[in-house]
Amino acid sequence: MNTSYLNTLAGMHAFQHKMDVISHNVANLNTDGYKRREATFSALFTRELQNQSDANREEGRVTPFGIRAGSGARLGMTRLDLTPGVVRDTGISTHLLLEGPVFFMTRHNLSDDPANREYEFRLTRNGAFKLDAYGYLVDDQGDYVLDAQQDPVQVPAGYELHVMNRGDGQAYIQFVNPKDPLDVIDPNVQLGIYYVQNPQILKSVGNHQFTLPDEFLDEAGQVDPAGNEYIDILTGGNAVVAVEGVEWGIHQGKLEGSNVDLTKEMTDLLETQRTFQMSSRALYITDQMIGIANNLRG
Amino acid sequence: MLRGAYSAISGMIAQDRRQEALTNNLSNIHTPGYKRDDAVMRSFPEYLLQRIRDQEQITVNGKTMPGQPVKIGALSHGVYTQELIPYFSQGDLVETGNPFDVAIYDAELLPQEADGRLVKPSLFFTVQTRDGDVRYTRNGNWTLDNENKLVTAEGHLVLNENGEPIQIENQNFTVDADGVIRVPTDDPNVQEEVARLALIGVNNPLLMVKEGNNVYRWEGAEEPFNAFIAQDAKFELRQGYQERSNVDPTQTIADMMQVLRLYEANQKTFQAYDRTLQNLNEIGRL
Repeated sequence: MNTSYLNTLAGMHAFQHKMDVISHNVANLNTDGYKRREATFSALFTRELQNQSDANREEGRVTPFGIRAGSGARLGMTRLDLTPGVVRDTGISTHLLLEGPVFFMTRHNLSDDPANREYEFRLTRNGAFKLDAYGYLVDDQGDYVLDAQQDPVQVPAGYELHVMNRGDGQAYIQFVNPKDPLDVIDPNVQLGIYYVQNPQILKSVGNHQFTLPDEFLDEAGQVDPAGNEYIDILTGGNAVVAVEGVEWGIHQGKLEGSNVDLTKEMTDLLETQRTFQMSSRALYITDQMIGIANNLRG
Repeated sequence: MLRGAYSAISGMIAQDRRQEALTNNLSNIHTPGYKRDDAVMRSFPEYLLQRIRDQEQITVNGKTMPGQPVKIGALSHGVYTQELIPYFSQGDLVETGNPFDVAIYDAELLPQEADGRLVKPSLFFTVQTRDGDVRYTRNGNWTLDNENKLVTAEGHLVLNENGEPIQIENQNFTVDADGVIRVPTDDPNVQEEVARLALIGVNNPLLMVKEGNNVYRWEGAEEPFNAFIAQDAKFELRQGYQERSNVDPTQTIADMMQVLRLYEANQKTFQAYDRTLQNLNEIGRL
């Protein structure tokens, strides 16, 4: 009877977790660059009970001996869904939209202390960038957006950022004077666009940013600012600079919305919630059975 | 003493086992490829009752012998849950659009004779556990591990026809109805073949033993057959679909309510016996 209790409880826990995942998706309906996660379930282990003493008396049996009783379900995985989000036109020159399975790279400071320069690289799909007081291209948390050499991009005062695809699969950066279109500074650097071969290994670290799990990073993900370890860290792991064969594109003045489909999420939520209700009903029935057993004495 | 008391309690224990199976089914109602268990009850073997030291005389070899046992008839001592039979019917297919979801549709396979009964064959994917054992599963809800190998949600490696793990370097892979996995190449008209899924079939899926974590162990005598080679095997593999569990929520809740009432009825029977014994004690009181 305790087994019935625990089976139901395991199921309810899993359903609760799925509802958590769904509500997180719904909460990020309007978060630019948000990629939804999808929860799927997995059965728990099975106990085999040998309740037959005599094989000769098991006439009509169709399965191998013993009873194999399961013990409920658990959340199997929360898979990242990388389908593109809706495109939104903003007309702002620092807003960038990526097409294809690629990411921007930002540099996140791990400490607020100016003396401590430890930071880690992060990947993001959210291209809602802006310029900080020194003209550096930063994301909405103030993390530097990096070029292909992992350096911050500084836009000179009075100029506007232009990102253009020269047809060789790289996103080149140019700075254009909005008052004089012929006044162009060409630093001949590309924006860092990164392709992750297996995006399922990406770890969500909040603020629509991802990192690679620790086993893909040297020294627990922290990089010496002076060192050039980033290439090893990223190619030795799984993220590599945009490669041939991967189709991608970049658009300026546009943003990628989240890829959450509210109708689908609400349908899933409804279904999960009803199953949760049914499980609590099952719990109640099991409880009544225990009550009956307790009242055996009358 | 009173034999029926034990029958009543055995009825309660059997219903308890059934409730365990039902709660497990309900918890796995959203587990992809899960097959529900049906509890089958069986009566305990019957006993022959005898009346001892009978007043009636019986005749053996011409001699009359009083006070010998006389047969009354058979009596069963109760009920037990004999087996939990997995019910291998096709689960509903639901579209997810995720390339890592592959569903088996084998509802149109014709029943075959196995152990003197007609049983519908069933198809399974072949996986390898981290201990190196080969197991079978209906759960086509996969992802890639950190070595880009195709794995189930539990981390079991999905195997190809040659019994090797499948490595996929490109997220835009396709799985066709014949289980061939292809990845795009630089030429848009050419696709490179990576591997072919090991899809196996068994004529009597009831000999598949549930091991937990959505996998089965094969206990049959003959080896499972390769579904792609088998004649007349009418089935489909569908990428971007998930096979849902075949648990029916209405049926499950109705069964649970029945379990509860049967449990209660057995308790009442036991209480009736208890009162009989109580009355016996009252009679004996001075």
